[in-house]
This record gives sequence, C-alpha cells and structure tokens, in this order.
Amino acid sequence: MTVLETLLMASVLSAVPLMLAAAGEAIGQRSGLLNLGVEGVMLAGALAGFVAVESSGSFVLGCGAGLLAGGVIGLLFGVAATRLAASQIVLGLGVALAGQGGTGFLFRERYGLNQPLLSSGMSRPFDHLDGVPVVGPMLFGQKWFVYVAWVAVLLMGLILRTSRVGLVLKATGDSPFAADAAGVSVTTVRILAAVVGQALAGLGGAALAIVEVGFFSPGMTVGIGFIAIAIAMLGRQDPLRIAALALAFGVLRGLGAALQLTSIDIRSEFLEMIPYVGVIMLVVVMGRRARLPASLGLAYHRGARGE
Amino acid sequence: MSMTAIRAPLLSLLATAVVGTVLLLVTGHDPVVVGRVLAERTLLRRSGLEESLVSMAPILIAGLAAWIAARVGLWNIGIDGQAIVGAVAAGAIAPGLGALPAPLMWVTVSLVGMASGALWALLPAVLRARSGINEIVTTIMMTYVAFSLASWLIKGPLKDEALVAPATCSIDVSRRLPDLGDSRVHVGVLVAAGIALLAWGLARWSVPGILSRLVGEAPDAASTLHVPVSRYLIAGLMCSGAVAAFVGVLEVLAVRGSVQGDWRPSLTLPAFAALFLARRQPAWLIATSLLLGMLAYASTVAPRATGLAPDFFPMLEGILLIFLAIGEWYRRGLRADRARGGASGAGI
Repeated sequence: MTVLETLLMASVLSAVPLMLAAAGEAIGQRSGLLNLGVEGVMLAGALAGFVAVESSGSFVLGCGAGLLAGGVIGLLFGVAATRLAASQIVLGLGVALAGQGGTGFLFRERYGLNQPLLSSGMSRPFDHLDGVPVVGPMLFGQKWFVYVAWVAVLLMGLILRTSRVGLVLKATGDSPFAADAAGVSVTTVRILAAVVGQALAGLGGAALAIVEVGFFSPGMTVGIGFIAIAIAMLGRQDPLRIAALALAFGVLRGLGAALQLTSIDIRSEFLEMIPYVGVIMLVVVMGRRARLPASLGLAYHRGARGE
Repeated sequence: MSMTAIRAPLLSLLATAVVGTVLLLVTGHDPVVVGRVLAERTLLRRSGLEESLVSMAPILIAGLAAWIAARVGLWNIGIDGQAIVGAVAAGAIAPGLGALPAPLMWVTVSLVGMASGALWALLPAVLRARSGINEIVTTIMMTYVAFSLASWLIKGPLKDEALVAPATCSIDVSRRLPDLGDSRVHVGVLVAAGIALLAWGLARWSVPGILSRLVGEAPDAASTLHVPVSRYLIAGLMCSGAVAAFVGVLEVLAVRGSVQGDWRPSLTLPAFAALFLARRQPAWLIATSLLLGMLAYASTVAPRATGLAPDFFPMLEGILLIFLAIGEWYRRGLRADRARGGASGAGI
C-alpha cells in the first residue's frame, strides 16, 4: 500500500469510535441532556467489549457488551438527570472520573500488570476487491464492523431527519413544555435518549478497543470522549454532519500514522497534538454557528414555566 | 453550619463508602482489612498524616481554581493543563535564578508560573466572553495540547542532559521551600490553606468578589447594572488558571525540585469532587481536600499494602461526584442554573 492508501484507510477506521460516540452524544443533546461523561462511558464500553471478545472470541458479543455497558450507564444517568433533577454537568464529570478510575481498577483486578492482546482480528468481508488503486483499501479493505458503523450512523441521520421519532426528540430538547402539552412524556423520552445515546458511546469505546487497536489499556480514549461532545455540538446534533466531521478527525489522526511511514522528521508530540488543536480551531471558526437545543442541560419541571 | 446543610455531603460520602465496600466484596477483597490498613497508614502513623497533608495541597489549590471560575459561572475543566504549564514555566526559569536569594526566587518563580497558567486560560476565556463559546470543551482541549507540549519541552529543549530519564534541571534541596519543623510537610501546604482563606475573605468582602457572584448567578442583572460582564468572565477564568498553575509551581519549588517527564496531573475532576463536597465554600475546601488528599496518598500505598489497584480511589471520587450531583443540596444550585438560562452558555 502507498502512504496515501494507508492514510485513507486509517482515516475511515479511526473515525468510527469518535463518530459513534458523537452520534450518541447528539441523541442525548437533542433530548436536552448534556452528558460530559462520554469519556468514561467509552472506557466502560471498551473494557466490556475487550473482556467479552478476549474470553469468548466473538466480536459480535464484544459489540453487544459495549452497547450494554453504555446503556446501563445511560439508564442511571437518565434517571438521575430527570427524575432526581441532578445537575447534568456534575453528574457527567462524575461519570467521566468513575469511568476512568473504575475501568482501570477492574482491568488491573482481572489482568494484573499484563497487557493481553486479542489473538485474532475481525474479518474483512470485501478484501478481495482491495486491489483497486488509491481508494481500494479504504473502501474494501476494512473490517466488517467499520461498514456496520458507517451504515448505522447514516441511517440514524435519515431517521432523525425524517421520522416522527426525530421530531419528538427535537421537541423534547427545544421545548419540553410544548412536548409535554402535546402528550409526550419528557422524562421517558430523555431516559430513552440517554440509554440509546450512551449505548452508542459504549459501542464507540468497544470499537476503539476491539476493532481499531485490539487491546485495552486504562485511559486509552485520551480525550476522544470530550472531542465527541464538541463534534456533536458543532455538527448541530445531526449524525450526517457528525459523520463528516468525524471523518475529518479520522484524517487528522490517520495523518499521524501515515507521516511515521514517510521520511519526514516530525516529533511524535506534535502529531499527538493535531486532533486537539484541530478541535480548538474548528470551534473558533464554527463555534458561533453551533446550535444547541434550548433546554440543554436543564432539568424539566412540569408547571415551572414562566421562570 | 446546621446539620441540614451538611446532610447531603455526609450522605453522599456514606453512599460512596457503601458502593466502595460492595465493589471490594465483589472483587474479592476484604473491606475490613483494606479499611483498617488504609486508616492506619493515612491517619494513625505520623508519616502517613504528613504525606496526606502533602497530597492535600494540589487538590486544595485545584479546588480553589475550580471555585474561582465557578464564581463567575464558568467551568474550568482545564486545571491539569494550566498546572503543567505552570510547572514547565517554573522548571524552566528556577534553575537559572541561582543569583537571587531563595525567597526572592520563590516569589519570581511563582509569579512567572502563575502568569503562564493565566495565559493558558486566555484563549478559552476570550472565546467564551466574546463569542459565547462554551469553555468546557476548549479548556479540556487546551489540557491535551499542554500535555503534548510539556512532554516535548521536557524531553527536548528543557531536558537535563546529566540525567537519563527526561526531566528539567533540578533546583538544589537547600533552595526549595522549607519543611515545617522536622516533618515532611512543606510550607506550600500552609500557603495553599492561606490562599483558600484569603479567597474566601475576598469573595465575601471585596467589591469584585461580590460582583463576581452577581456575574455568575445573574449575568443579565449584572449587565443592567453596568458590571463589565465579559471582563469579569475573562479575569475569572484567567485567575482560575493562575491559581491552577500554582500546583505546578509547588511541584518544582517543593515536591520534586524539577518537572519529571512522566508527571501528568489529574486533579481537575477530584478538585470538583472536593469543591462540591465542600458545598462550594473555600473554607470548607480545606477539610474536604484533606480527605481527598488522604485518598490520594492511600492510592499510592494501597497496591503494596493491600493489593488494590490505585485506580480504585479515583473511581471512588467519581462515584462521590455522582452522589453529590444527586444530593438534595445541589437542587438549590439548580435553581441558579435555570435563572442563568442554562449552564451551557450561548454557543457551543
């Protein structure tokens, strides 16, 4: 493979965890929930997915474990943020810290100081076609989960744009009073959005561990969860825009991998910095155009209108 | 301080202890043994108490930094980045100031370090104040940039060539901040507690202190009263960054004498745990950061003493934050959030 082919292939692959997490965060944000704990949810999904694959050998089970871990955290988050009216920001910071610490603790409990690797990789269903020049490896050389993730996020975008479900979600976030008056249960919608959204973040974490790198290490997300929050906001909670932004970040991350294959001498610290500087620049350029649901971060109290 | 006021923090601590105990049982540890060993190591031995006090200082300072930003209604999630920037700035200039008498060197290094931390908070502050761009994401991103930048500086231009492991040049032990009496507790701990009391006093009795609260809780009312809101926001986040950088200054002037290549502060989230446990009162922060300082020290002795992974303790702090968020005390804060039109700011 040429450097360009490697770059393109790595970009599409490394966009997947970020894209799933950001799409999940977007669902929560649409309903009015701001979850700052994506980083912790992703780590929980990564550990659950890794343990499942490592012990059963099944990647499908691994994805299921990631979804489940995220969904359970989402359920707790959703109930705490709606029924108990807890501060979403403090709750999210707690989830981030508990997720980072808890996954590190459980990983060490199970594996000690070992760093096990998955023995097998995921199958690549279309790799007989990857001889096509330039775009071949990017389009046909990927592991099967990459196709599933891209199709799922694009479908999600269509569903949110065109279906009643998308409208209900948007109404709950933009005007919970109107949604309530129209017979929508704000609490139920928000809890469901938290479950589905954080299950996706957990799946994103699992994708990072079992699809992209093939191991788990404590703190391995290094900020992807926080970048996902930014991407969800900048992409106006639209999965299609989010997928495009995530791909751009995939390119930035892939750039690091590809540059190391060339003879260009650049310190690895500067390569590490690229995605974070990218977010800051994107926020500076697009920040004013980001749109947030009117009730984001606020608990809904029936009858509290006219505050 | 009435009993009702501290009920939620106490219940949160209790609930955290229960969850921690259950997790210990599930993972096959004996909670009684773990509890006894850690209590003995952190409380009953003089050395443990001293180490806990040393571990308390960074949490107390970081908690103050979080509090200063929260006072004007901002969330500084970039404390770790500002701390490492302060440390690198201090580590870069301190060894070259050999001509200055030690106290003058301490003051100079502190001022330079804190100014660097304030500058590191400048971009998120300006973006928030002028364009309404939420500071949570930008301060976190600045932390990751700071980590990479610091790592490059410590391995490259600032590396002490006499050492194999990457670190900045060290300052001589005789020129570091002195210890209290014959203990291992450095003066910086007292300075940190002093800053906490000073911050509490300024917030209560100075005009900017009182106005900053107005800016934080009712920005619309503040601008109606011609309070320069955006200037308060920028100053608030920069002050917060300066205080956060003092963590790094102490690392150089008191703890290690230099910045080690593997030094990665992770104080931001524990700082918020300490702050909310203290019910956002800087004076109470002294007590709660001592408690979290004990946990921090416990996490360093736990692996050998009990076989417990150090990550157990940050996990407990995260669970504590979750319970504090749920706790009834926070509902009062929530009303303020609503009056403010949401905690999320105008833009992203």
